[in-house]
Amino acid sequence: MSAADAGSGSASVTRRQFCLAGGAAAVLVGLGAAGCAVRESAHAVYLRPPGAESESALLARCDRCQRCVQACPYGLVQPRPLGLDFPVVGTPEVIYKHGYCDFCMKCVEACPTGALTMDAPSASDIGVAKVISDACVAWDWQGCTICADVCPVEGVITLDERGRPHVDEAACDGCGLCEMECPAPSLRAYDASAAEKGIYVVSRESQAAALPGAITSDELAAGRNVRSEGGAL
Amino acid sequence: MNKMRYLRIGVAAAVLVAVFACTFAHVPVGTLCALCPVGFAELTVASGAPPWELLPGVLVILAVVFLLGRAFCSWLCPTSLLRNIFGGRTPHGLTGCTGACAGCGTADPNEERQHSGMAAQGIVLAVLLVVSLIVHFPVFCLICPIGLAFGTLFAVSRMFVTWQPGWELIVFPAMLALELFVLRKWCTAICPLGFFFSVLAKARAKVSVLPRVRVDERTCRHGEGCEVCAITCPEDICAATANARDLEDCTFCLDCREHCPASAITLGGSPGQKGSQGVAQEGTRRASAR
Repeated sequence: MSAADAGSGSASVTRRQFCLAGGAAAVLVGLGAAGCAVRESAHAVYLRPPGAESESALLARCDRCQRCVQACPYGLVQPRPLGLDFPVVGTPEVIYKHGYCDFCMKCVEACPTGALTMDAPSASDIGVAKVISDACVAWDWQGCTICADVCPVEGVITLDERGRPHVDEAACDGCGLCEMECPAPSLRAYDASAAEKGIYVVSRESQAAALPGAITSDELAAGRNVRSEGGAL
Repeated sequence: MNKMRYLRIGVAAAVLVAVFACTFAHVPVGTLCALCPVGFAELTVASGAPPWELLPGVLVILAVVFLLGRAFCSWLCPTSLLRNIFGGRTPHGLTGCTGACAGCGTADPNEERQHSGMAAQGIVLAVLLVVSLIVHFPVFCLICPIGLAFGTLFAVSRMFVTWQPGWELIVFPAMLALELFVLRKWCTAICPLGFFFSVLAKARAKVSVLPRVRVDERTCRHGEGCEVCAITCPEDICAATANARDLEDCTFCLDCREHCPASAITLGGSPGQKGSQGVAQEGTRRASAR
């Protein structure tokens, strides 16, 4: 603190406080505008925990308190990492890396803000599984039936006459067991252009979900986190 | 030696550790964000309906601040934890108190100290609510130091699940450092949570039985030039000459009580004495200013 500051007393102190507050206010306005621009241009959508009303409703209601993240017994619910889509940082998304969802609803029960509710249609329908045609082992060769074997909902994943899996998209609830168990990464030679797994659960609001049948790795990468204009539901 | 500071570091760190441990134990206690009055207001305007389930927690925090003063700021807020560890204010640092306050050396150190800027905090609160209303998401949560501290914590726990470190492991601590150590007046000029606490501090100043810092004038050595309480105080308050307005900014860190060489500082409410003391000191301050 300089002598000039100290000498001029409380008036300059107040002025400095107001300058700081004004600066912070300007930053908030800028963040809000940038956040809006990002949302409008990217139409981003994510695989949310069960009970999210819609992407925009969740973002308006989530205060990032992380209770759903803590509640999930399988560690599926994780905060969104920081990226260009910065308004959603810290909001919950579902990652089927080490587990799948059994709809225990502990995340919904833990949510104190109503961002996740039992009433929302997604409470029993997280997303939809999409077969990735160039990553799925059964798509190229016959033999692998793991996703159809593990799927807990009778008849959702069926094998066609060539042994390729097909998903009944209306009946799939996006539990992620097929994605978790898919052995494609260990059965295939590594290919950077192909998706890691042969089947992925994506949000029903996404472009990837709106495409009919199996999709390619490129379509997954391009459409997984982009809202489909019409909406798949 | 700085017993109180280590105690504060311990309490605030225990909160972070407890939240972190609960994440791995799958106990949904939530972060301090689940108790935030600013978050409650933001969600209300962003989503168009108050999140009533948040209200009990918010009221508990507000009640605690009303009863115990702004103790939240120095004992629980991760901001103060970082300042206590890294010494965000001149006399503070892990190694000791070796500084001077703004008004040290003058007749009344409280003359030169800055009051917390409730009006400035109010402006930030008003702007963030208007912006949240327009953009439909809680905008202050993106830069809130409390949220950034917990965000860093959860970025670490996420890394253990995905094995992909996120940018927030670098960006969040950098933003925290900017807000706490470059914009050093964050708490008193910007923090919108501080606005709620300032309102409560004003209200509790009128209730004389509530605890506040008291100086025993018989043993206080301020008359002999002692300024230890003002030097140790993170808010630059000289307890010996503080009036009611100065004490509104007290965060109950209790450093003054620990370091007072005459042990003249106590914590307590004493009905009746408060008002006359404040008036008397206001009088002496005006006299000394002339």
